[in-house]
Amino acid sequence: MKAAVIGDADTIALFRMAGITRCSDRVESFHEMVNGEDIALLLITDEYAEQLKSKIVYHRLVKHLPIIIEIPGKKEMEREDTIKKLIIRAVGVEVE
Amino acid sequence: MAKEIMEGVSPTRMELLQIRKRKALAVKGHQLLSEKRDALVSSFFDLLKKRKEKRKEMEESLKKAYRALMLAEMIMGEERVRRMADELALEREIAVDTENIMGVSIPRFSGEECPPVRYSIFATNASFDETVAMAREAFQKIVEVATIEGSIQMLGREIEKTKRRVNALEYIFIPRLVATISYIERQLEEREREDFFRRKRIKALLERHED
Repeated sequence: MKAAVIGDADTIALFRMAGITRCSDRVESFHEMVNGEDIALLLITDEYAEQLKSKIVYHRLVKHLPIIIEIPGKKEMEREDTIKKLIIRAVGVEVE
Repeated sequence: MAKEIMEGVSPTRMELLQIRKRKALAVKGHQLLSEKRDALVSSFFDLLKKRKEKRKEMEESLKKAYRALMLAEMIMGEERVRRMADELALEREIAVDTENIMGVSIPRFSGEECPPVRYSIFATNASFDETVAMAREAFQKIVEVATIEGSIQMLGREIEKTKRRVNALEYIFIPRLVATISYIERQLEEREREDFFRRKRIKALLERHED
């Protein structure tokens, strides 16, 4: 299985060095990567994840793989933790 | 009692026995499932704690990597760093095992050791080397986080499912069975009273006849 990245050019350069070749700087490639048979891990920078939020939440509910990980991008930004939604669904309360 | 009873039951002793058996089973199932739910929730919380820690580590390490990258870009030029990175890319395998926690299969990732990189010493400099090392370290951390977040995701789903089952048993199935049992019991008692009364009447009638 492989890992894939969606992020800006710098992020891609960084993860290329770490040995990931499936990289994209377009939000649209989310669909293709999520449905890729051999992708186990999908890294998305916060900036891109913000735009894909609803898709990510949906994906987490219905599919096992790939696991989507949001990573901080080069620009630091306020992030909303999407895992939190999952926690609330599971236990019914917000957990710090 | 406003509670619903099951459809299509005839108030007979046979049925009563059967429904009692079903109720016992449902109660047992409910108990087992709620134990399962509690166990799942407690390991869920453990994972959340672990995630927080790992996530912080990962973010730190990624931040360092970005800083190293920027430094390398400043020294070597953005274009060249990116081109070198492109050339460097080796497909790295991620091993995925599944682990079983209380019947939930959970993915476990491990990044395989990356082969040593080969690139020209002349085209790059120390800052590039450092960036590569840091990028790899950060990726290792991300893989760790992925395992945890993946587990959280799977456990979360399972908890939801289990909770729904527990609630269905507790609030729908068991009350319905209880209501049905008491319905049948009342019916049977009523019939007995009727019978008793009828016998009394007949006895009275017969006695009058004899007179």
